[in-house]
Amino acid sequence: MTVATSKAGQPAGGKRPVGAKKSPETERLERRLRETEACLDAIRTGEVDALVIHGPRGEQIYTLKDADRPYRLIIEKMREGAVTVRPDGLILYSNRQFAAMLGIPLEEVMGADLFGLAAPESLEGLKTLVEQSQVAVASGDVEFRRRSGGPLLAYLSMAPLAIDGIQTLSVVVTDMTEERRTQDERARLAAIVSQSLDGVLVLDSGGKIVYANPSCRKISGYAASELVGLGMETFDAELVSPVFAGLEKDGFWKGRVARARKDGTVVELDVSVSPLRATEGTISNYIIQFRDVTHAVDMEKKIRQMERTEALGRLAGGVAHDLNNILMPIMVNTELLLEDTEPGTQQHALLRNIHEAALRQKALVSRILSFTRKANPSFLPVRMGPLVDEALKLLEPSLPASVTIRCVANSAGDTVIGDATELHELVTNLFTNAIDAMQANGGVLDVSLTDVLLGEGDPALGLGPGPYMKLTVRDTGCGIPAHVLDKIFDPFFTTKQTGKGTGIGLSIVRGIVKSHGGGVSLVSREGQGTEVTVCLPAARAAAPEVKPRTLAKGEVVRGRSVLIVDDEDMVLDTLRRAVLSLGHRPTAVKSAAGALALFRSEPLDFDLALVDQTMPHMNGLELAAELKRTRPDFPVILVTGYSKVVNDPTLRQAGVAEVVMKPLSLKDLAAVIDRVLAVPDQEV
Amino acid sequence: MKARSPLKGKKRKPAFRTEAFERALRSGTGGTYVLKLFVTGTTPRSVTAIANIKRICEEHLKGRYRLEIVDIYQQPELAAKEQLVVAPTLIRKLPPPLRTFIGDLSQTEKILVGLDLRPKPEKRG
Repeated sequence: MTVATSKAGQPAGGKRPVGAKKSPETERLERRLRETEACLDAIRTGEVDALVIHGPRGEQIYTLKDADRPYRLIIEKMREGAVTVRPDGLILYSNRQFAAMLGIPLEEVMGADLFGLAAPESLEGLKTLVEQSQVAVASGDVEFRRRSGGPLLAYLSMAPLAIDGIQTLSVVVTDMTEERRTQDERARLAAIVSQSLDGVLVLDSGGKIVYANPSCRKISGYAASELVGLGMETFDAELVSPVFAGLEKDGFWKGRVARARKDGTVVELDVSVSPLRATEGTISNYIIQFRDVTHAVDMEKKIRQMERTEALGRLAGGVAHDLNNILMPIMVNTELLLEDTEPGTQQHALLRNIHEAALRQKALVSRILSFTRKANPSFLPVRMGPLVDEALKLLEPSLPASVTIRCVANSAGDTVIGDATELHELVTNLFTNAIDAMQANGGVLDVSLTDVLLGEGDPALGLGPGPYMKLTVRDTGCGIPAHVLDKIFDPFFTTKQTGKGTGIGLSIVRGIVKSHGGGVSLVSREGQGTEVTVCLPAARAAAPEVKPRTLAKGEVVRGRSVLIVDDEDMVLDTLRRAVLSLGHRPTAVKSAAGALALFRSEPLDFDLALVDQTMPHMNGLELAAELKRTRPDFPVILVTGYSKVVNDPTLRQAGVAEVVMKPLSLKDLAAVIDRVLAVPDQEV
Repeated sequence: MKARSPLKGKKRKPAFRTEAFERALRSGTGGTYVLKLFVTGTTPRSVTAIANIKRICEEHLKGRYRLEIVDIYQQPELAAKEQLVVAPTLIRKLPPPLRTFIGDLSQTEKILVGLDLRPKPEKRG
C-alpha cells in the first residue's frame, strides 16, 4: 500500500489565473479535492477516532487512540533503554533512554546497527547473546561505546518477539556504568585495605574489633577470627585513655608500641588510630593501623652502634698518636741505658722489664690503630707469611696462657696482590675471633698457609680457576650454633656477649676478601670449634724483598751528620741521643722553620734528615718538600705516629726516602738510617 | 504530479536520461541521499518500513545516504514540521525535488523509481 505523492503537487494554496473559466470537470475535481483535504485535516487534527479500512477480508476498523498506548508509554518513559532489534543487528525501535545512554540522537539510533554500537571487546559476547535470545530469554553484560568515546557498561535482557512475521528481539538495557564504577571503586578500596602491608583493624563505635585485614595476622600472629569481637582494651588496657585523649584533642593518635605476638616474641609497632565518621558527623568506627617497625628499630640501634664505633676509631687514632709519642722516649732511652749497663746486673734486668713493657704497649697501640680503616686501599704485592707472623706477634701480649698457637706456612709463593693494612686487619680479625672463642677453656689456634690450584674454580666461594693462596684459621673453641651460621657474616651480628664484640669483624673480613677477589668460608660445630678458610688469588710474581740493605755484612755506617726536627722536646732529645749512640752527628731543631733556615745556610753540612710529620705551622711533608727543593738529592726520613699517613702514596711522591712509625726502637732507627744512606752508595 | 514532469519530457530519450541521472548522482550534493522515515513505535508497518528502506539503501545507496528514522510518538516535534498525515512516511530530503512515500515501502521497484534509482518504466506514467 505504497503511494508516491509530491508535496509540490498539493493543490492547496495553488493560484489560478484570475478570471479563468472553470470546466465542469475541473469543478468536480476541485470539489473532490476539497473533500479529501477536509478529510485529511480531520484525521490530522484528531477529529476522528477510527479509520475504516477496506481490505480483502472486508472492512476493518483501526482505532486511532489505540489500546496499547499505556504500554507504549511505559516503554517510552521507563528508565531503562528499550530496543527492538532484528537478529542481524538492525535497530527497528529504540526509546529515548537508550539513545540518551549512548549520547546519540534518537533518529540516528533507529535504523542503526546494534553490533556497530558495541565496544569491540564486547562484540563476541553480544553476538552470543543475540544468538541465545532467539530461542529464549537471555541476559548478560555488554559494553557499548558512547558517542563521547566513553564506555556504556550495560546489562542486556533480550527476548524473542515476532512482529507481523518479522523475527525481532526485544531488548531492555540497564546502564550499569555508575554501579560498576562504584563496585570497582569499592573493590579497589577493599583490596587496598586487605592487601596493605600495614595491619588494619576496624572497630565499631563501642571499641569492638569488627574487621582485621590479613596483615594483622602476619604482624600479630592472631587470626582475624581471633581478633574480631575483641575490645581494644584486651590488647592494651593502659593505652585506651591516652588514645582517647589524643582523639579528643587532635582527632587522631599516633605512637610506637612494643607488643607481644601470639608466639610471645615482641614486635615494635608504629600505631595510628583515627575515627571514621558517618555522613552526619557522628563517629561510626575507629580505624587502627599499625606497622611492624622492629627491623627498622634494630637498624637504628645498629647504625647508632656503628657511629659509636666510628667515633671510637677516630678517637683511637688520636690517642694512639699521643701514646706513640710518649712511648718513643721510654723505648729508646731504655735501649740506650741497656747498652750502658752490664747484662746480668739488676739494673740491666729492670731496664729489660721496662723495655718489654714498652714493646707490649707498642703492640696494643697498633691494635687500637687497626680501628681506623683506610678509605683508599693501595694494591701492591704483599707476602702473607711475614704478615701473618707479624699479626700473631702483635696478638701475643693479649693471648691467654691456655691458648697455644701453631702456625704452619707451607706456601712457597705466598705473595698476593693486596693492601697490606687491610690484609693485616683481615688476619687480625680472624685470629682475634679464634682467640676469643677459646677464652674460657683454652685450646689450640692452628694457622696454615698453603698454595692451592683451583682447576675448575670454586663456585661456592665464587672463585674462578687459577692459583690461590689459602689461609686456614682453626680454633678448638666454643663454636657457633648452627641456626645462626647463615647470619655470621652479617654486619653487627655477633654471638659474643654485649661489650665483647661489635659484630663487624667477620663482615669486615668478607668485605676485604671480596675486594681482593677472594672467597671466604666458615665451618663450625658448637662446642668443637670453628674453621675459617680464606682463598686469595696468588700473585704471579713474588713481592720484592722488603729489606733492600746493600751493606756488606757487619759494615756499619757511622759519622754522618743528621738533622733532627720534632716539636716535642722529649722526642727530640731522645732521637738526638739515639742518633749519637749510633755514632752519627745529630743536630736537633725544635721547629720546621728553624730547621729550614739552618739547612738553607749550609745545605751540604747534612747527610740526612729525621723529620716529625705532625708539627705546628709546617708539617713534616711540607718541610721535606722544602728541603728537597734546596737539595734534591737530600734524603729525608719521615717519622709519624699515625698509621694512616704511613701508607699514603703522596708521601713517597714528595720524595720522602722512608716513612717510619713511632715508636722506633734503637734497632729500627739504625736500620732505617743504614738503608737510606746505603742506597745512593749502591747506585754510584 | 509536477515533480515528475522533468523526467516525463525526457521519456523518449532513455539513454540520455540515464546519463543525466548518473551525472546528477555525481554532482551537487555529492550524490548523498538524505532520507527521513517517520514511524510509530513498533507497529508492524513501521517495523517493515524500516527493514525495507534499510535494505534498499544498503543495496543501492551504500555509503552515500543518510537515513533518519523518527518515531513520531517519541519525537512529535520532528513530525510537526513535515505536515504528516499518516505513518509510515518516507521523505526524500535530498537530492531535490522533495518526495514523499507512504506505507511500508515494500514495493521496491516503485521506491527505486521514486528515488531516481531506476528509470521510470516506459508504459506507465
